Amino acid sequence: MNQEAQPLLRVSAVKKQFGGISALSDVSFDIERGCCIALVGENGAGKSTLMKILSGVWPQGTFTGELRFAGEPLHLKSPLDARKAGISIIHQELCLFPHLTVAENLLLTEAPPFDGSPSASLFQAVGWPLLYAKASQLLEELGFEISAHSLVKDLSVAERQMVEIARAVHHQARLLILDEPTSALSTREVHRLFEVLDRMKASQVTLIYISHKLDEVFRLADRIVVLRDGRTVADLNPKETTPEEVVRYMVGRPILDKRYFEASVPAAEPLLEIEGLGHVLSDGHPRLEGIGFSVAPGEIVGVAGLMGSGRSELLRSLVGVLPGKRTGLVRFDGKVVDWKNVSESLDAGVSFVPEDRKKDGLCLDLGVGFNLSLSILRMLSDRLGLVDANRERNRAEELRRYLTVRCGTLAQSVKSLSGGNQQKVLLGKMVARGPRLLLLDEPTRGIDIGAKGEIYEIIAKLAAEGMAIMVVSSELPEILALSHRVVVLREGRQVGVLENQGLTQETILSLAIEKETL
Amino acid sequence: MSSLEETRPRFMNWELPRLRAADWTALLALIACALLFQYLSEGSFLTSRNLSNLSRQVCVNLTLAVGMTVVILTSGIDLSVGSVLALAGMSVAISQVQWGWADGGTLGATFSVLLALGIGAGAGATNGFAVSRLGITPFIVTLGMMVIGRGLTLIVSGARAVAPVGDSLGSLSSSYLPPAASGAVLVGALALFLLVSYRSFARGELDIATGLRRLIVSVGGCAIALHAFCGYRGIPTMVFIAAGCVAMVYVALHYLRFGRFVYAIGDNREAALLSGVPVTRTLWSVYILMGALAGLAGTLDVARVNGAVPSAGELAELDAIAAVVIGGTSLMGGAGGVGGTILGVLLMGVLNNGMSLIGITEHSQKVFKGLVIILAVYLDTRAKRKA
Repeated sequence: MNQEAQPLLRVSAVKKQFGGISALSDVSFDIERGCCIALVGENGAGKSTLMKILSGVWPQGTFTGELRFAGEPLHLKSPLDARKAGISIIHQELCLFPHLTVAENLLLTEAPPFDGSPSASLFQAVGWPLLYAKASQLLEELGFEISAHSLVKDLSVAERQMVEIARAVHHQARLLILDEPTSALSTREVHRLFEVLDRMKASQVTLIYISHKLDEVFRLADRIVVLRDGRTVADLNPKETTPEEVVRYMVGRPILDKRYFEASVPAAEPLLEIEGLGHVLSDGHPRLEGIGFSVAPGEIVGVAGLMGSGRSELLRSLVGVLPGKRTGLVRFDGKVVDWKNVSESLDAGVSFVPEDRKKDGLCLDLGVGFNLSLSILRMLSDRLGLVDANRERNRAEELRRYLTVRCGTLAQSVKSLSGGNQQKVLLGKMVARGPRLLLLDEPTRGIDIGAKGEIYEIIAKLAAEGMAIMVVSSELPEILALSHRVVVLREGRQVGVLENQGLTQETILSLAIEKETL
Repeated sequence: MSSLEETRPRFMNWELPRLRAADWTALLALIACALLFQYLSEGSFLTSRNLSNLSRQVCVNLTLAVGMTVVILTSGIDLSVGSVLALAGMSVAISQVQWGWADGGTLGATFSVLLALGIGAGAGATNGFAVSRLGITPFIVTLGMMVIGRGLTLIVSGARAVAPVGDSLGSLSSSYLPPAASGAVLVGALALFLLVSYRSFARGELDIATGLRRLIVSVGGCAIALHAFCGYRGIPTMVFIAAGCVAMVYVALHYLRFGRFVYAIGDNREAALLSGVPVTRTLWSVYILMGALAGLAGTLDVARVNGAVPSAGELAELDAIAAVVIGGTSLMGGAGGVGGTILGVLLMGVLNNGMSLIGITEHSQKVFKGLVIILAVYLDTRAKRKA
């Protein structure tokens, strides 16, 4: 048979079980050479399991069904096999060595020997000039403006992604899998990434693009494959479908572009007032400047801005965990405050929910109940520090129900929950204190649409009960769905406070983007 | 979702996460070693007299290892315990011999013990300050304290042994609760433990597998203890003291706020900090507790050999760390507990005692012990990977 006519990858009837639970129950699709398919589905739909099968993490024999790559049966025993076959995967969490240079990261396993001889000995002296020359050439060919000498830890997330892509190209990847590549990128960086991906497509590299962001999917993909509950439920042509239809396939029910917050805020004295807030980092570099707005009980204020605009830093500065010195005036409940650490702000009635639930938010190996009660142990224990297990259990159970966390038991480790449920646990842990002001940093990062809606409802409910809330988000639809008012930041400065009435993404974005790039 | 999750019982279980497979590995290894030594020693290993001796030999390591469990749960380490043990022990001996506290009877002995606890806690507080306030890696801080402690021991002793201590202090090691009373205490403790376990089982907090294991281990352990203690003099006072430390740390880890903070810090320090956990204070307390326990271990060591030598407690930190790791506590922190550590300590004790009993020289013993530690941790890692 003509090899060119074959699809590059054919996945037929793949099934995979963990214990008694099936993660994939029937997945089948084809990908033609040089084509980009988008793989969409809610968390838990089986995308990551499928990726692990394609990248050799789950070797041949641990699943049923057939994989054919370029017409040949594909038997992967390890991730190394996958890479040799020409399959490269770029993970959500990038796999680079932060303390090594870009060149070392790119050519690590095949550092050219000093004398230029083709040797792979472990103790061969490395030809550094040759290594850097090769790496620079590679980056140049791809049009990436990254120095081969930079340390990876000094690069932005977008640049690190470029390094990963360059590495995949270098390994002559024929199939490149990208898992949520834009979750940490600014709009401009996303555009650059798309240009790179377009060029790769043109040079016959096949792409599998996994994303929750449907606008990106429609921009990039030639076909959209929808997974739900471990099955392929749809294979759509973006030209003949709509985002609404895709979402319908993903969740099995239509969702509306709705506003979650209560239309009217009861007139009340502001709880938090910020005037002329600035922040100078420990290295003397000013990070925030001239920020001033207020938040009233029952009100949700969104904070929007591009990557690096100081969104998260604003929250961190307020609760006293951003290194350096804050200037300006912050009044909470009429009193001037200057919290030095989280304990102080917590005691004052302010809860901060950090952005990165895995790194900063949760004790992943410990139980749901453990996490939920962690910040309220003082209220659950007597003067000697003895924890009242009954009250703790009741309180945790109450929180679990309020937040609709889906878990088997409260003892189940947080690690084993889906992203959406982890996020609910994180939210619950900080809501447990019964704060008067809640600071949310990216409350729905990397979670599926269904769980997002549930979290929005919880946030709106909390506000309706009289909590003052600030939401930082990189996703403008989220800001619009949640906030009464929107504070827009650009490069650490406040550039606008907008009422959310007839407000559009475009209005916010044009404020957030520097004039010259428009 | 993995199969592990699925087989997890559907009830409220407020026990902190424990490494089930690891508990079994250490337990089976312990039983296997005991039976092997019983065979090789032609029946003298499992005699009451030998087991009673064994129980006194493990007290020092047990006291150190429970403290080390807490330190390691916070993802820290304390390499200074051996030196702190020596310094505290030497201070006890000096106070007894040179300052004449030996003549003070029980009161003098009490003051000596308090002195040791104070010195230990002081060294621990210094470690804790450097770790929690100055943010220096525990490995480096305690490595420094290990050298400092040994140096101070040599200075205060003039590099000479100090002996003998008074009878009151010596009786910590040489006195026993009479056999009849010992039997009553053991049976009472077993009954209490089974009652508490049954109540939590009835409330649905304990699954059948764990409950069954608890039943087997506690009844079996009690039977062996009855055999050892009632058949030979009774329960040694030292064992009471070490068991008291175990109970104290167990309660602190499982019932106090402190314990939650320890696990939270070990699992994710940043998250703990942002949840309002007093990280600095907790870490400081952990190192002070460890230091005080090292001081107590020093006292027990002096009581056992009736004097202090400057080289006391050399490599004691490694024995303690090995026991904790064999017991399944993760060096990364956040997972494990005291239960496993007890098994780890017993396994190390059985090896030491058994090998001496069958005439393996002290030098060869070291080689075997090292091999067993590596093997135990390998088996443990494999068991966990399978789970």
